[in-house]
Amino acid sequence: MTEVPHQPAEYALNLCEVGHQAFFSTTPPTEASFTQAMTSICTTWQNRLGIECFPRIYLGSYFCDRLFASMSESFMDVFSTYVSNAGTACTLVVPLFSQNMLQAGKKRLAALLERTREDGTFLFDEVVANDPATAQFAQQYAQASGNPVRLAYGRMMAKTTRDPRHSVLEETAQPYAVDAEQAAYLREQGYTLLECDPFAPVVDTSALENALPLALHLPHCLMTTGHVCEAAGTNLDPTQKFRPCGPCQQECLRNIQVYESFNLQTEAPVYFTRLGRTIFFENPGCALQGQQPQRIIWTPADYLFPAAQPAQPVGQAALLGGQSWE
Amino acid sequence: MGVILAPVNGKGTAERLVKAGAQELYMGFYDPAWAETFGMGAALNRMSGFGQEANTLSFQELLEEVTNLQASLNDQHLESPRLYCVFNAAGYSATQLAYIRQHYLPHLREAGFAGIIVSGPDLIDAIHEQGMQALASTMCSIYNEELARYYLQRGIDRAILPRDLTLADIRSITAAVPQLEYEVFFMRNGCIFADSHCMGLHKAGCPSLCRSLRSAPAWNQYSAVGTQQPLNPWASAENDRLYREAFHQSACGLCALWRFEQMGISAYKVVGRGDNHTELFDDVTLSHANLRIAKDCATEAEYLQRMLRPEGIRWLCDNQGLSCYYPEVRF
Repeated sequence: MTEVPHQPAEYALNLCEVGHQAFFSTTPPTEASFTQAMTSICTTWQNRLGIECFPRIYLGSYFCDRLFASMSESFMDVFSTYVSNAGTACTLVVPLFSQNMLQAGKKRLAALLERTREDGTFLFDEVVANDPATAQFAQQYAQASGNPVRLAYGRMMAKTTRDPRHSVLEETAQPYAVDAEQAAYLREQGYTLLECDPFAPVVDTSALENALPLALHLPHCLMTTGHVCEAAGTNLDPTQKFRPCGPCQQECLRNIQVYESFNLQTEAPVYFTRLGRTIFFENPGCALQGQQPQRIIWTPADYLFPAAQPAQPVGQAALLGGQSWE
Repeated sequence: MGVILAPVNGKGTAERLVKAGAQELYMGFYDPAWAETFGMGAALNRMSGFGQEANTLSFQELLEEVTNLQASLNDQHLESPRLYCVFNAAGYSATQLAYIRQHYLPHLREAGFAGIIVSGPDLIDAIHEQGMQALASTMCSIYNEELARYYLQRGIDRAILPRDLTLADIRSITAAVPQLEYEVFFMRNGCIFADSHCMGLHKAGCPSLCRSLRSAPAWNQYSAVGTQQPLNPWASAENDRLYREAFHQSACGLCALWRFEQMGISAYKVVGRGDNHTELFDDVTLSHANLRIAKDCATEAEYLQRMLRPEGIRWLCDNQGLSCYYPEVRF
C-alpha cells in the first residue's frame, strides 16, 4: 500500500496531463473503453492508497493551453456519461493561456462551464484557476450561466521556492505561500480552496490559521514550467524548434524524460521528470505542519517516480502500473 | 522611441551605463536589517539568493550611488536616467509588504527613483502614494491581454513581458491594451523556462535548475499513445541535444528592434544584474547604436541590412535561431 501521511476528508483523482483522450485507441474513446479504463484506474489506486473511492476527478491542464483546448466535445460526452453514472464530482483545471490560445481557451472554458450532466446539473462544480485573469473570467462566466461553480487557487499561483538539490530546504519546515491575511483577501475574491504542492519534506501551513481550506497535490511536486515545450520540437527543423506556445502533435504524451541530478550537500541522487513543458520531482511523504489538507489531489502516474522503480512505460500502462485497459 | 534599460550592479557602473546609451536603469539591494527581521532565506528580490554577487549595494549604498550619479550627470549637463528598484521576489508575507512600504519606498522616492518593479499587485497603491510608477515584473506572468488588462485595472503603469512570447503575441497584447507601457527582453541571459514559474533555487553555489538539467544524465521513456506511434528515438535524441546544448545558452533580440519600435515598446531590457560589467557595457552600447539605426530605417528589411550584429559572439547568429529571443524575424 502507498503510505500517505495525511487523513484528508477526501481524495481527488487528478487526470490533468496524464489522463488525456489521446491515450485511447479511438478518438473519442467508446463509453465501454472509457468506463473500463476509469474503473481500473480507480480500483488500482483506491487499493494502493487504502481508500474507498475517489469522490472527485480533476480534468483539464495545469500547464498547457493546447492540451486543455484539445479536449473534444465527444470526449467530454464520454467523460460526462461516466461521472454521471458514477456520481463523481468534477473539477475543471484551467491553465494560463498564452495570447495566441486565449480566445480558443476561453471559448473552450465557457463551453465546459455550461456543460451539464444527464440529470441537468452542471458537470463541473469547481474550477481551478492558475492566474487571476482566468479566475475572474471563470467566475463571471459561470455566474452569467447560472453555474454556482466554486473557485480554487491553483498550484501555479502558490509560488514557493522548492529544490530537492538543496538540503537547506529540508532542515526546517518551509512556509506555505499564503498566510491568513492573504487568504482572507483571496476569500473576498471568491476563492474557496487553496492548492499546495509537496515542495518540501515538511510544509508549514500554520500561518494560514484555517482561513481557507487546503488541497495538497501528491505524490509529485511541480518544479518549473514554461511556454516552450521541448517535446514539441522533435520533428521540426532546428530553426523552428522551441518557439513559445508553438504547434505540436502532443509529443509530450508519448515521451517523458528523466534527469538524474544530485543533492549538493549529500550527493544523493535527485530525479527530475519532464512531462511536456513541466518538470516534476517526487515527494510522496510530504507532511504539513499546522493546517492539514482537506483534500489530497492524487496524480495516478507511476512513471513519475523513476527512482522508485525500473523505467515504466508512459501512457495507459503507466496509469495502471504496467497493465493496459485496451 | 523606446529606450535601453540596463542593470546596475556595482559602484560607479551606473554612469558608465548611461554614457553607453542606457536611459533607464534598474537595480536591487541587500539589507542586513531585512535578513535580521525575516531570516537569511527571506528573499528581498529575485536575485537575493546570489547575495552580494547580484545585489552588490546595501540599501544605504544604493541611495548614495543614485545621489552621486545624479549629481555627476548634472555637472556634466547630461540627462539623468529613469531609475527603477526591484521588489520582485516570488512572494512576500503581509508583514514583509508592510516593511517594504515603511522602510524602503519613501527613501526611494526621495532619492529620485521613478518606479518600482513588483511581482504582484500588493504594493501598487503604496508605490503610487509615493508618486512613483509601478512596473509588473515577469513574475506577474503577463502572457495575454487579459492579464495585461487585469494589472492595468490594478494600477500597473508598465508591463514587463515574459521572454517566452512570440512577436505576434507581443504585438497583439500591446495593441489590445495600449494604455500600458511595455518592456521586452532584449539582450543576454536566455531562459528555457518561465521566470514566473521557475521555483528552483537561484543561488550562489547552486546552479540554476536549467543549468543542472543541461548537463545531467538523462534518459527518455517512450510509448505509443492511442493511435499515435512512439516518437522516433533518434529524432528525440537530436532534439534533446539541441535543447540542452544550444537553446538559449545566451540570447539576443536585436533583429526584432524595428518591429518593436513600430509596436511602441517603451523599453528594451539588457539582462544581467549578476553579469560581467564589460559585457554589459558592450551590449548596452550595441543596443543603443542599433536603436539609432532602427529609428533611421523606413523598413524592417533596411534595418536588418544595416543593423550591427554582436561581433564578439558571432555564434549567437550562427546558431539556427536557437540563440534568438525572437527567431521568427530571421527564420
